[in-house]
Amino acid sequence: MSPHACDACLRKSALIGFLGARLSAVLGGLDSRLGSVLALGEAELIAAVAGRQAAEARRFSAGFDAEGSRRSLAETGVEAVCPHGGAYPVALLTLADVPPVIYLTGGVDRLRELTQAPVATVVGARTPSRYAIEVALDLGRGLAAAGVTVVSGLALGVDAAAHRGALAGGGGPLGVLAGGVDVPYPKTNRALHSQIRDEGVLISELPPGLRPLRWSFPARNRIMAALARLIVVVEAAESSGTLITAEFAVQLGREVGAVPGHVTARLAAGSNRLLREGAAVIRSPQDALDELLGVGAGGRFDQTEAGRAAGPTRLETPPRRPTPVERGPSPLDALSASPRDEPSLEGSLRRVLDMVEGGEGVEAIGRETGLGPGRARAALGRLELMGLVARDGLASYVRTLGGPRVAPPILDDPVPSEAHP
Amino acid sequence: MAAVLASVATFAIEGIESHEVVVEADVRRGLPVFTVVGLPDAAVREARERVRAALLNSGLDFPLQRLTANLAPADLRKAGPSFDLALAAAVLAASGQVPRESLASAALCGELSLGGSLRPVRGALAMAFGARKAGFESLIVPVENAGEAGLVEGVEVLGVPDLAHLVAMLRGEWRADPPPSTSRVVEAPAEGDLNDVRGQADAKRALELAAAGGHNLLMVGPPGAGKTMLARRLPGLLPDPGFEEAVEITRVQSVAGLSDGGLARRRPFRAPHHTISTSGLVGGGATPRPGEITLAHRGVLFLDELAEFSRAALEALRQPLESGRVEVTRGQRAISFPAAAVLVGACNRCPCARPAAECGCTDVDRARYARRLSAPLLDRIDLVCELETAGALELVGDERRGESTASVRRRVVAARERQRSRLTGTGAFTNAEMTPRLTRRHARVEGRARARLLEGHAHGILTGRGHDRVLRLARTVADLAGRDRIEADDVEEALGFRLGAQAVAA
Repeated sequence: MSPHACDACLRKSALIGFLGARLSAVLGGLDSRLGSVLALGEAELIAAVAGRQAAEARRFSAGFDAEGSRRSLAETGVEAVCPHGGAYPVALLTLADVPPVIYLTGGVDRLRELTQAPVATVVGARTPSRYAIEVALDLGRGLAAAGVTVVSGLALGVDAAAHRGALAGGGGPLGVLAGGVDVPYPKTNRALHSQIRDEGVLISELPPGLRPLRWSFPARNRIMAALARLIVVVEAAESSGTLITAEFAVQLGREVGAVPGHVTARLAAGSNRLLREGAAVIRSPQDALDELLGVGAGGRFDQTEAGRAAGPTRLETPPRRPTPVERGPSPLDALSASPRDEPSLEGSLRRVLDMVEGGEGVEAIGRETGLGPGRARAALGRLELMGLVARDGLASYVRTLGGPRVAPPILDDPVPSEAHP
Repeated sequence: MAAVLASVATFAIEGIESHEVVVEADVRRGLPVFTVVGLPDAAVREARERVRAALLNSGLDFPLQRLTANLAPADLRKAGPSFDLALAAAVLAASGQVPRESLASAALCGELSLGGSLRPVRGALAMAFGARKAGFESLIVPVENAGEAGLVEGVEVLGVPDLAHLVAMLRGEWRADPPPSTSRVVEAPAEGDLNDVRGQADAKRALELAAAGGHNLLMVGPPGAGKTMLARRLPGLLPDPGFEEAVEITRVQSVAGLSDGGLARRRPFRAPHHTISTSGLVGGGATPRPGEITLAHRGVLFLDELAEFSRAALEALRQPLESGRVEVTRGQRAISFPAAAVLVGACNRCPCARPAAECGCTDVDRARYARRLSAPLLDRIDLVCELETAGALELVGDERRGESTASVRRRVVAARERQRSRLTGTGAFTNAEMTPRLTRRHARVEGRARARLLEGHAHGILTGRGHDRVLRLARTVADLAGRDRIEADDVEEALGFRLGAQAVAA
């Protein structure tokens, strides 16, 4: 018989679901008492939060039909595990308020497989910069390709990008939902929800059918923090939900890493503060692997190979095009004189690329490179064809993470980069 | 006692076309009443008072009899004061004060003042075209309209200052001066030179391309970067309108009451405010009037703060931009206005409109802003450019003065000449107007240039429509360089200037 949840745990979980709205009223959104409340036993929980619904809640609890609950779970294709059965994610036992039941889709075997592999959680802003999306995609893909389970929360922005990256990297992403596992939230991520349901595992501590509640977002964040050895914050403003995840991670003794952002960017103020306070600097999947598995362990991981192994990318919405690496040989190869890993661009192209990377506008690029306006646009058109830059908004360009990396110009650009004729 | 009947011809303006209207006057014994029938609007009905006073003040008789005037055809709506003169002439003829045969082969138009002098009317040029088409020998107009109406050959235009002179002329006692020669028309003051604008080389190059190929352009940049200044200089980059084009421009301006009485020598520049209504932008109203896009015909329509225009107004621009005409349907009648203008839109990089370094907008914010720009409209925009903040310009310094309008225009004119000789007889004048079929024929790319385009497709940068846009623009880049063959560099530049795919997909 496959692992399953015991009667008592199912009852406690159902009771939490039953009292969901009351919990919202009592706890609000960002309440630090969350853990201590969820850790209460059933009778105490009722006494603490049920208020006038106490009698009703007691009746609900007393009349709970575990078998019926299992039957309806089976009908919806959702499985349930509790700490007393097999397959329950061991990492979650480190929580003070262990979720009585984890509901999941995708199969308990797959869940066991994913939680036994090294796990990294990638989280960040729901409305991130284009840069953060690129980084999250890259992290998701790189980590997944290296055999790391990528956990995220299916929210908009960084979460979704990390999931998409993991899917493209060939890994089964693990999505943690704030509502029932069968409830796609937010709705705009419906397609992603069903893709992870098919190719990865979705888990939640709330019974199926329940919509997310105010308190269940931070509650979901504590599960994401607990599941992973490393939590990577890609971009977070001050006082954002992402920082709550990082906070949980610190309390649980997990590694916290953050991706550096512009120091002037309001959007990255929270993640930059984490770095200042000692979080690991995550610049690439390799950095994350170093944190997760120890320096050097990334020998298993080669970005180029990983990209190739990923095969055709499965990104459905087009946050980025396949990089030249994924496409195989690129026109860039013809231009590069140095070893394959560090190709050098034709003088002016490289200069233009460096300036795009530095956040310069087209006007400045044309002026500084001496190319002039038309030829600057031509160079950008060429770089876009190579997959090294992409449109950012209507008229500007942004450096993509795909393709050959170019080191900062001051460090290694002995070649004078002037306009070619 | 028999009634005395007289009929004279005049014209009603509909759209920018004129329709012949016959004014019949019937004078018979009865109570002295003056009735006007035949679908007149309030201004036409009020003409009775102006005609009566003008006649009396000019020392002429106003018959104290029952007077009925009919404007035929009776199903055409007559609006405005331009029927005054014809009504007065009909009354004069019916009351025997001027010989009736003197009006047999002439048409008249003009507004009367109470003192009997004539005021200029709108649409005199269109009426002159109508008079020639209808086979009239002469067209009698207020003297201020004579220059404009005189642009039409094949009909004698007689400019008359007041009613007394009209009567003298019809009696053969006075001759009108020939209409002033159109070359006399003074040129409107120049809009300023391109080298007044510092820096912004990217935008200037984009303007040059837009001028050379007639491409619609979107300028993206912070407020104060000089978007409006640059857009105002685009008409100056375009070649001077030829006679045919100038007449088209004058005709529109005449109908809209914007004509200065002569041939328009400058291409129009229209910059409506973003609060404009749909009918204000594309034309319409109960009696359809030309909209801004028509007023910009053969010139430039500049829409600053493109994202702030109402969605309906922007979507209504799509068809005119596609076909170069606006079709307005009112009841049974469909009216067509010319609307071949180069569109220049301007918007900010993002909703906060701050420079990139201080911008706090997220991708979501920017996507939402871009969505306001109406995808069907963006679909008609061939190129974008980016402007720097004024602050960045300070760093450039003053000493680098850019190219002058005249110098850029020489290249533009040469490029237009190449297009004209290539496209003669196809119905298109510029690269931007090339149909997909023409694009395939005249913007062929081979070798390395072709490889670039295929790459664009393979990487999902280009779509089918985007492909044609890039080809048309690459054609213009090559034309400006004086080349028949489109090179890889031209394709790359066109790719670089095309609108970000994100925005079009949004």
